[in-house]
Amino acid sequence: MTFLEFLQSRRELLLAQTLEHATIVLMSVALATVIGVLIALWTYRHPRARAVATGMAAAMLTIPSFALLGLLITPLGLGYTPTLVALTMYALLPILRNTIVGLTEIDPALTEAARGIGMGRVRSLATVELPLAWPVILTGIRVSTQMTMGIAAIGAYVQGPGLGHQIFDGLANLGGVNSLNQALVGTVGVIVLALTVDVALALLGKLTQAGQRPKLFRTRPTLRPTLTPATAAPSPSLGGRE
Amino acid sequence: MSSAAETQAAATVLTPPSRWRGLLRRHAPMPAILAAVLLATYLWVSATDLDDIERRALEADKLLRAAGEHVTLAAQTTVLVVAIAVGGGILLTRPSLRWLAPFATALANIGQATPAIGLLVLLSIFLGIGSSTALIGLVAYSVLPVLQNTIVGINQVDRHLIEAGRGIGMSPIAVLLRIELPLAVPVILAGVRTALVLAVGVATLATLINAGGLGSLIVTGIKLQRETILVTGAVLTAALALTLDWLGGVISDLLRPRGLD
Amino acid sequence: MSHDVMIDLQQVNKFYRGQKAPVVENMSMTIQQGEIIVLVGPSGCGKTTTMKMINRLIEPSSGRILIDGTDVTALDGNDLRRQIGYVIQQVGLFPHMSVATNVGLVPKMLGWDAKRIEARADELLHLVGLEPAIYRNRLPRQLSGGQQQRVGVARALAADPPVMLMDEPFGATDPMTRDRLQNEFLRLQEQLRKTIVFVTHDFDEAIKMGTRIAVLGERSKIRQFDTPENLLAQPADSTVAQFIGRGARLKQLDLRRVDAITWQDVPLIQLDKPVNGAKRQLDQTEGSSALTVDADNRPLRWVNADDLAARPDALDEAGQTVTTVEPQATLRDALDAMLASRDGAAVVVDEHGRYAGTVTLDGLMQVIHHTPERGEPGSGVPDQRSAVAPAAELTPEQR
Repeated sequence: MTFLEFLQSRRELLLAQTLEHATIVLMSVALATVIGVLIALWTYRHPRARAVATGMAAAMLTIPSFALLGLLITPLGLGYTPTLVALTMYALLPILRNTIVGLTEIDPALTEAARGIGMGRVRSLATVELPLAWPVILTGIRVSTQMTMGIAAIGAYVQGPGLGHQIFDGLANLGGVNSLNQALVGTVGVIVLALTVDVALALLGKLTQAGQRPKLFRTRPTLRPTLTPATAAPSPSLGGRE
Repeated sequence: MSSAAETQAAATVLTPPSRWRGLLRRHAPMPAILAAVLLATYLWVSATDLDDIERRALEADKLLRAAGEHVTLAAQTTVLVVAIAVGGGILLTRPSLRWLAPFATALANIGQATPAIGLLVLLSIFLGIGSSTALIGLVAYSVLPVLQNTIVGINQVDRHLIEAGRGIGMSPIAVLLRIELPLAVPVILAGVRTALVLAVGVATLATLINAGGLGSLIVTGIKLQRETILVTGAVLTAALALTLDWLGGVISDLLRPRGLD
Repeated sequence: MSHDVMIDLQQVNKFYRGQKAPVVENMSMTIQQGEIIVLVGPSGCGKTTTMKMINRLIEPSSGRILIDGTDVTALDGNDLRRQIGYVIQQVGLFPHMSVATNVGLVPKMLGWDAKRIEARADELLHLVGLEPAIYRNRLPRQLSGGQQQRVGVARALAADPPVMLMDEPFGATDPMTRDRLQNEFLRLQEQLRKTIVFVTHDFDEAIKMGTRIAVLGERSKIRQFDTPENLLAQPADSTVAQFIGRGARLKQLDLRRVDAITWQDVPLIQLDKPVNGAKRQLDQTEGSSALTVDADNRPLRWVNADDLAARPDALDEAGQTVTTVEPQATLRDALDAMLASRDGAAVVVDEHGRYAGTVTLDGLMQVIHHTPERGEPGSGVPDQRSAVAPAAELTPEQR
């Protein structure tokens, strides 16, 4: 069976798995965004708390995904939930860190101006600070999305959803007829999906820029925790786990 | 020429906080936490009534052998990756080859979204299963961040410094060795550290293509539904990754050229 | 000043592939030993390119560049650059090397032994006014901007190169620091007598630093190449005039020293002596003033006949305070002092603060209106260098 014939014959299954894959990644990134932005809001004015929060998020990202999944299935059982939780944990660091950076890099004159015209803390955050930090936060979201796309494939081993099933089927069939097709469709499918979603997020960024050129994150290598400087770079390219 | 105030101000700058104290403060918590977690796991396993399968899987020499395989695989990967990626990064920042760098970046972006397990399975289909395939997969997977960091690290060196170096008569090689590389060291090391963590992580999957490592415990634990084996494997893997990352952090702090902030 | 040709640019061109017009077109220029030649012009006019072709950071497309008679293309580029001092606006100190290491880089590349390099670095730091014991082990980031540029100059001087290229070296510093660095550098140049090509876009800096100034237009075309005095007095065309900007005559005041114009004498009244003689003198010339001085002849106050009549016993409180200048001050400083005084006169004092004469607005006007040709007797500007150098000796307080 050629690759195209293979795609044809499994069209529905593959489409379903792709959709599942996209869904769980986007769900975990959405969760991580909510959690990450909240933690950032809570800590960004306190260097100590900031360091502790990013340090913990960085440590989570350091734990191999296979191990993290293993640890999570003990309390959560096999299936969807441990994968979702693991992905959310991995997606946290880039978003958290970029939100903190985005918020701390806002010109203090602007927040002062907001206070000066009588805005309260919450209003200032909602109408001035978060919109200004948004492009940087979105960059973090893009990095997280790219990274979790690849990691989500492992989820299939603990009965999570998505294209990882194709890869593990290919592994199980090693030497069999469709082994290559399965591994290929699983791997390439994830890559294509990741790139598509990234383009979509980039478009979202363009649409949501608040009357300013998107302040793409200055290429400033971040040296402390384990990640490449690319975490902070405009083109997301954080090394994924596995 | 320089006023007294200037001299005084500079003198206060001159007394840096003890390097060691800073190192200790930044790096001491992690080993303590790891030791506590490992101890807790050990106590928990000791207190549990183990069956035959569990007892056999958790024998000390088996654990040591798995950990050894794991570390070896990760270490080999890191050495190869540094050689390939730093060399490649240097080449891709030379004026004559600079036009190739965007391709490396694009490749790195794709590589980031690539599922490592997919890469390992694809490689196994072509090269057969085993440790050498795992090594190739690990290298291919972790080379890109280091390559990209080397390129970023060298390119972020202030071009005026390079001009100044050339202007006082340093040869291109001297500029590379004495200015560009030393100033890129922190960024390159950050990349190496990432690669190390990636390698430890992907090495967990090596067991799936018969290349051993601590992942085997996790696989056994899941397959045979033995919580103790699963948790022990997962904790050991996580602890190993965190330890190596910690070590990487300490080393890169030590190798950081002075004079940089 | 010796008149050996040090740098000779002969019909130098620079083309870039894909660009129609050359960046530098047919540039020819002869530079004497010991001169500071300032290339000045709008940004993008090719002045930096011209300069960088001299040390071959940019290779000329055609033409010849000779340094001390040797074609620069005959040498290896790196060897060439080790023999030419190079200072840039961004300083370019290597942040991971100590001050002494930075300064000693060129000697090290030239294969000097460690002892000699160390001694040389200390000597140079001392020369640029940084105490070696304090500064040699510092890192660049522990220095202020002005100190960094001093180290930059020291590094360029390390192997005692006969030629130095300076690309807006003081451009990144604040006006006060820039002024001080310029003055220090001019004073240094008095001793060192390097041949210097100095690029700037700041015409005032050009006037201050240059032995001769080349005003460049598009494609590094020389619009005028002359001494600061002549440039100010006779701009070659309207573009140069425009570039000089307003106040060319005021700028001339920067180029002249008080000791170059005629001083007038005024009656002196020593406070501890009878005032009758002076009084008579004042009465003779209607409306003029006398100067009270102390026992050491240091000027105290201006007094006129009315003051003497009103308070003959309390002269130390009568009249107006005086403003003084030293003979080495520029005429601009003198003008400033005059404007601050009621009588439009500034008192010239020697280094001990003793009365030496006075200069007046009238005297100043005469100089401005009779800008002499170069070398004309009595011009008061015997040598362009010395005409500029005095400014170097002014402390910021005086300016």
